[in-house]
Amino acid sequence: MSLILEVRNLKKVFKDFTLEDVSFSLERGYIMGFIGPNGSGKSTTIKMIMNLLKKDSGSISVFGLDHIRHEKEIKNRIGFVYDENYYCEELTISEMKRIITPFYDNWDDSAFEKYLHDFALPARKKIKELSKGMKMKFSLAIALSHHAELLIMDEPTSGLDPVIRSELLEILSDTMQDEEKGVFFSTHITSDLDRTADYITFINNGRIEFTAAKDDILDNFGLVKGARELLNTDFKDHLVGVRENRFGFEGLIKNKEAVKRLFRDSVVIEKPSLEEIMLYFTRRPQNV
Amino acid sequence: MFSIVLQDLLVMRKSILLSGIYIAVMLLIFQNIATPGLLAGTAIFTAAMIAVTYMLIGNACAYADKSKVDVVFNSMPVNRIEIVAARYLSVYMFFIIGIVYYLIVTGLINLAQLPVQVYPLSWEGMIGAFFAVTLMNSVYLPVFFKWGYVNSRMINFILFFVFFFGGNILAEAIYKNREYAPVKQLQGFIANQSETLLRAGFILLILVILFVSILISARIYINKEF
Repeated sequence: MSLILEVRNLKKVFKDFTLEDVSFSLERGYIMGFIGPNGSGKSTTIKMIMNLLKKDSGSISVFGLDHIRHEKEIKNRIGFVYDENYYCEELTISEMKRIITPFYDNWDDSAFEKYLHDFALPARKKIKELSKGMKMKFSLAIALSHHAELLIMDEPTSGLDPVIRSELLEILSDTMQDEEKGVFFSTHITSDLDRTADYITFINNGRIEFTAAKDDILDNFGLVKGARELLNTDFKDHLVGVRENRFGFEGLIKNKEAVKRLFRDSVVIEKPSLEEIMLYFTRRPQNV
Repeated sequence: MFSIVLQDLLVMRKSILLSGIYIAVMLLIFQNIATPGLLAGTAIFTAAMIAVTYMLIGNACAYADKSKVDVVFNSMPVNRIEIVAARYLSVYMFFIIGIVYYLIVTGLINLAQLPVQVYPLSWEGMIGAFFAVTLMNSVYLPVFFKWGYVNSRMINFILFFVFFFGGNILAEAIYKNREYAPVKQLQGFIANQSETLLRAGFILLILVILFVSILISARIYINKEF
């Protein structure tokens, strides 16, 4: 097993928010979706991986190397796409490329030209004249043109229309044909991960709720429906979150098989979506 | 590092073009303000270089702050010290651009035989302007790295006024008090030194100020969060 990214017991304290005990790891050849509601700590975690924010404690290894001691070497092998454009808007695509090229040891001009062509990006257009989708594609072209082994993406699809989002996800899937790469992809739009992600890490209020293979999550969690009376029994202990209505309740359970065994025909269990899982975890304190 | 300077040059290209006009305007304004005598040329040239670097580095810092380009550079394989050093290097790139414009503008005035007094570029002028530009930006840049453009612009503005008018006020004060004993003593001391020693000493002083400023900026920037 070759870990491309390993985060252990990460901690960062702000005045009004604490990120605590954040741990997860990603193997080469896989895409990890990093989900959580707005303000849950996704961007903070990514900024600490990129050393844009200083961690208070914990460890971060990328390609098996400490992210501070080997910062330059690691960043040579990382591609990044952030939620907004941070490139110089006054410059054209080709001018910006000229500025970036010398920083990377493995910069590949022909790959960049190919991405410009594939993404229909006009090299002579100023970045400020590009649409949000095009800016995102430009960031992606930069990230992919130095043969990055790890792509770190912070909400890359936020604010994009469904067509561009779908295009972006296809590009990601194509990139992963080469099984030597890894993608760490934060989003609060969980449907982006339905097709692409292999692993899911869910962060809520600065803490990791779970990190596991997406298929295991979808297999183990269950969306359960039943009569209200059940909520007055031991059944309540199995619930992560619940929503009551006139006819009964709907809730999320962590261990579908155990509930099936114990409560058999008194409940109906369905497969939840990632969005539903996220919603129930987020609402949990008010509803269980 | 040079790529970051290149970005500053590309972003500031319109302002760079305009700075030639500013120098021409300043030469005209200073016709009636500058103290006559040997120091007038130095004072005018220094003021012009102060104005050009103030405008260009101020705009470059404002742009960098607004567009948050530090996020991009700090996500790339670039040392933070290189980013700091690039900002200082930009100051001197703008200084060189200012010199070139000064030469062009004064050359054109001479060529057209306009009734404007122009002062040729001298070693004293160059070193004086180099000192003033270095000192001004050596104070400003650590403040910029610490608090960003918006919170530091007032300090930059005050520094600009001090250095822009300070050169001329200083030259005027020296000229008016040229018979005063301490001024005479200073002039005597300077006159007794060889020109090479004086220039070397002055340049060394400038480099020490610059080095200390870069160290402070680097220390601030290395610990900065984005």
